[in-house]
Parts: sequence; structure tokens; C-alpha cells
Amino acid sequence: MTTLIDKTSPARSGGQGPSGSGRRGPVVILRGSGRYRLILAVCLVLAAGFVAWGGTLQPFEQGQLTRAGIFAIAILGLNFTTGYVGLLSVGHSAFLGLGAYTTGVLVVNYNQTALSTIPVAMGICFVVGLLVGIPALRIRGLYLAIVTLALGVAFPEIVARLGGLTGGAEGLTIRRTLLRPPEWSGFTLGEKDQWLYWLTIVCLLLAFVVLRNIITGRYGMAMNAVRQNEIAAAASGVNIATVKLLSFAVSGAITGLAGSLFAMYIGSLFAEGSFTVLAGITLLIGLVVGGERTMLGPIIGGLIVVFLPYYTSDIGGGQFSAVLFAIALIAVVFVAPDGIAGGLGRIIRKVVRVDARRPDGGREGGLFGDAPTATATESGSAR
Amino acid sequence: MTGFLTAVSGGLGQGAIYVLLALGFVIIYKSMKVVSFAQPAFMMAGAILVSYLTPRFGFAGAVIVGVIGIGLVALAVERVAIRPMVGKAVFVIAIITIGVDIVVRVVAGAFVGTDPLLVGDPWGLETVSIGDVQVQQRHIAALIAMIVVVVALMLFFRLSSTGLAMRAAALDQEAAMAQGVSVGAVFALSWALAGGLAALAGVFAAAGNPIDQTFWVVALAALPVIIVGGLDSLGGAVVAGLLVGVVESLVRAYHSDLFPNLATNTGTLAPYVLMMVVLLVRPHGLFGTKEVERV
Repeated sequence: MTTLIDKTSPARSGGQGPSGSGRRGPVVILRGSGRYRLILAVCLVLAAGFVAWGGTLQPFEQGQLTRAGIFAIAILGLNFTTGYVGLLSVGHSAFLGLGAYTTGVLVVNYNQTALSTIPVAMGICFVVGLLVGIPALRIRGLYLAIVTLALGVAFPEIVARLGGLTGGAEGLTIRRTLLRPPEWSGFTLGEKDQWLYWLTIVCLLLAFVVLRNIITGRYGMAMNAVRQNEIAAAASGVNIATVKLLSFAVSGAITGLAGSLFAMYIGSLFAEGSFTVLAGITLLIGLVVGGERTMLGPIIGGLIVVFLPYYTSDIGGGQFSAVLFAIALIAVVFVAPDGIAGGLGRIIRKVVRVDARRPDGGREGGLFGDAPTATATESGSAR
Repeated sequence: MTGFLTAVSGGLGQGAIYVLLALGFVIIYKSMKVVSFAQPAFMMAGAILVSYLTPRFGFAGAVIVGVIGIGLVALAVERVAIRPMVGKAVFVIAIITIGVDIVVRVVAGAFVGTDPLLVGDPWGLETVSIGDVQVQQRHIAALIAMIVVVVALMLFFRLSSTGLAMRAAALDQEAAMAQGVSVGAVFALSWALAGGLAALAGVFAAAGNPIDQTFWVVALAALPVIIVGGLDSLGGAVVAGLLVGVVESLVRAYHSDLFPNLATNTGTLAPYVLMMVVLLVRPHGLFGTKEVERV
């Protein structure tokens, strides 16, 4: 009988009451308190240590890490619209390709420095994102997914058509000397890998901070509202058209940034190789495995889509590695349907809970995703 | 005019393949509300299985055994990989079907050697003349097979109690369960049907051209088909499949006259352009049900 009483005590079953009385309840840490800052500082130091360790690696391993960072940026962009606004996009490979080709064409044909092409690539992808967002105003769910799939399918064909500019099917090769690190960075041409690694880290950091601020802010609340229920959001004064279009455009711009870095990393662009629909699906896989609607998810996803195939090809060569990759993918989704970051967050929240000091909560977009209370309402709309 | 009719006949043949594929997508969508991205892999596996069975059973026997075999594989896949995830977000199940697609496709692809793999069909590229028009036999065969399948499916859904159970489950899962319908069995059956249909589509897609590692790409065109027809409409899949097939074939045939300055491969893009146009007018496809949302 005593066990029965234990189970029904509010501290265990509810999980929402103040947990001071419960023996097993999670430790509550207030946001902004000393302990919170300490934990945050430790995490930051660990992350910085990892990044610095990456800086000392051999060129090949470092290249893989750079690649993971580039994919992390692309998935961050995808997460912005697919995760938070719920506009499922299968064709983000087109933005990746558009960014890459913008950089490639400007560097090769117009003698621009690689770095100066990044804003141009982002701007072009922003505008294209606005245009692609227009169908999303009228078309929803899986229908929209297939429309974006069309974008992904069309991109390599368009590149092949604009052969004069893009090199067509033969591809576009950017000579190594054209990708020389700028003078002020202190890196020489031989240290191009180092330069690109640190450039990627800086871009990833910037994208992370900017997107996090948008998502935790007023606009982010509007994005979440649109995903959960458009009619209710509109009734609450959210301009759905603005939110959808802007989120698609920002998402495209961030993925375009990743594409631009990818062009510098890979050096030779083949639309049929790097920017097909398969690349779009890879980004989607990274997002789901990493964790939708979490801030760390895209980074974990980027690491996974780069390193998992790398290790599976170590175990079984050739064709077999693809099978292992797919099985690992299915296994991860089985164990943690909300992704690795989401699953970790669920476990951590059982031990430690971070409470905001403000009475209005504002926990949306925390490092490991929403608190469970925030997502409980959307199980209906997800079907 | 003969050129036009030849293109139309080729388009109808290709469209019949799209119809078979699209029916599989729609059957799964109706029962589980999920788009299964594993269909291309089942199509490829079906064609390869049949090409291995033909020397032993003859072509007709091989098709029957192959279609049933792939249906059973799809059934097993549903039981092992999909069923435990029922109720999770649609998105997550879609990713699992992508994983299944990769596994099945790579395993099946391992049986494609360096020699061209032929499905062993009796038609090849032979033609018959209808009036002035040369029509390829394989297109006629695909069209006939498609019509037989559609009629059989129609009778199955209308007349059999299992078909009624499937329609009930598609309409309202909980109400169907309350009436004693095993929704799990409906899921399993819908996957088996979709697998078998994909395998059959694979046989006709492989008729007249050898199977290689990129054979599955044909099935991608079935995605715009189901959107044009409407995700949850079997009749829509038939109409849209034929429509997309014909439009694609016509664009391919008249591409150089129509768009001399456009991409070299407008035929590939035609289904998607058609899809965009249809979606602009009808956001839920030609025959799809408009979703009603409660606040």
C-alpha cells in the first residue's frame, strides 16, 4: 500500500509542482543563478576545448570536422523553417547548391575573393527563399514537401542548362589559389584548411547565436504559434504570410551560407553529385536524428551525417556501409524519436530542471528543445 | 499527327507504370497518413527479383512469384520497422521509410552485376501498328495490366469484407477499431499491396531497358503524380498517373520545338511543373480531400 501512495504523490506524477518536497524530483536551477552560470561556463569551456582540439588535427580529420560544421549550418537553416514553423522542406539542397554556385561563379568568373561572396550568396538565397515560400502560403504539409522536392530535382537541371556560367555537367572547378585566405587572417595558402576550419566555426557560432535570438524572441513565438495552429495564431494577431515567407527566406539564407562555405571546402562543384535531392534528404536526416526544434540538434546532426557514413564504411566496405548507415539511422529514430538532442534533453530534465526566473517562462528553443509542457499541445496537429 | 499519337501511346504506357506506383503510395497514405519513401526500393527489388526468377518459372510465373515475394517483404518491413512507430510524428515515420528505402535498394542493387540485367519480358521494343501509329507492345501490356489491377482493386475495396475494413480504417481508425476491425492487419495489408504494386510497376519499367543502379529514379515521378491526383484519392492516382505520363512524353517529344532555349531535360521536370500548376488551382490535388481544421 505504501508504494501505491508513493506513486500517486504529486511530486512524482505531476512533475510540475515545486520539487522541494520530492525525494526523486529533478534539481531545480534558476536561470541566471550562480549554479546555472557555473554549469553554462563548464559547457562552454568543454565546447571551446573541443573546437580548439579540432584546430590541432591532421588536415584530413580537420576537413571532416569542417564538413560537419558546414552541414550543421545548413541543418540550422533547415531547422528554422522545418522545425519551428513546420514547413517540411525536402529541397534545401537547392539552397546549398545556390550558395555554392554563387560563390563558385563569382570567384571563378568575376575574380571576387571567396570571403566577399558570402553575403552575396546569402542575399540571393534570401530572395529565392522568399519566392519559394510563396507556395507555402497556400499549400501545406506533405503537399508542400513534394513541391520543395521539385525544387531539389530542378536545381541540377537548371545548373546543367546554365552551362556557360556554371560549367554545366562538367562541373565548376575553383583553383586552389583563388581560395587563398585573406592577408589579415595571418594564414598562408598552405594553411587553407586551418583558415576554412576557423571560418566555419565562426560562421556556425554567428548563425547559432542569431537564430537562437530570433527563436527565443517575439518572432520565434509567432513561428511556434503558426506551426501549432495557424488559425489560432492568426486570431492572436500573427501575420502568417510574413512569418512563413520570412522564415523560409532566413532559412534559405543560412543554408546558402553553408553552401558558400561548402564551395570553398570542396573546390569543385558538380550539381549532379553534391546538390541532388539526396543532399536535401541528407539534411533532413541530420535534422531528425539530431533533434528537430532544438538548438544543439543541428550540430549533432551535422556531425552524424558526416561521421556516421565515415565509420560505417570502416566497418563494412562499399555498398554495405550504406546499409549500416540506414540501419543506424532507423535505430536512432527508434530509440529517440525526437532526435538525439531531444532524447538527451528528456533524460537531463529528469535530473536537472532549469527554471526561468521570469514568470512568463520563455523556455522555447532551449538548448535541448522545448520543455515537455510546451510541446504537449501539438500532438494533435502532428498527425 | 502520327508523331503526336505515338507520343501519347508511349505516355499512356509510362503513365500506367506511374499509376501502379501511385496506387501503392495512396493505399499506404490512406491507411497510415504517411508517405512511404520506400516505394522506389520495392520497385527496383521487384524488377530484379523477377529477372532472377524468369529463367526458372518463365516470365508470367516469375511476375506472379516476384509480386507476391515483394509483397511479403513489404509486409515484413511494416511489421518490423514501421508498426512500432505508429502514433509518432509523421515526419519521423517518413525518415524511417527513407532508411528502409536505402537498405532495400542497396541490398537489391547488390544483385545487379556489371552485365545488363534484363527482366526477360516477351515484348522488348517490338511494336504493333494501329492505323498509322506504331505502338510499342510493352506500353500496351502495361496499360492492360494497369486496368486489370485497378478493376481488381476496385472490386476488392467495394465487395470484400477486408476491403470494407480497409476503407473503414482509412475513414476513422478509432471507429473502425470499435467495430472490430484490426487496424494493425489493415496497415500490414496496405504495405503488402503497395509492395506488390511497386514490384509490378518495376517489371513494366524494366521491360525494354536493362536494370541498373539508378533504376529506382523512375519511381520519383510518382510523387508529383500523387500530389496532382490528391494524396488520398485512388481514382485521382489513376487519372493523374496517365496525365503525367502523357504530358511528360509529349514534352519529351516536342521539347525542341516548344522550348528551344530551355533545359536539355524538360521531360524530367514536366511532372513537377504540372504539379505546381495544379496546386496553384487546387492545393489538395485534383481529387484530394480538403482537410478541415478545428480550432
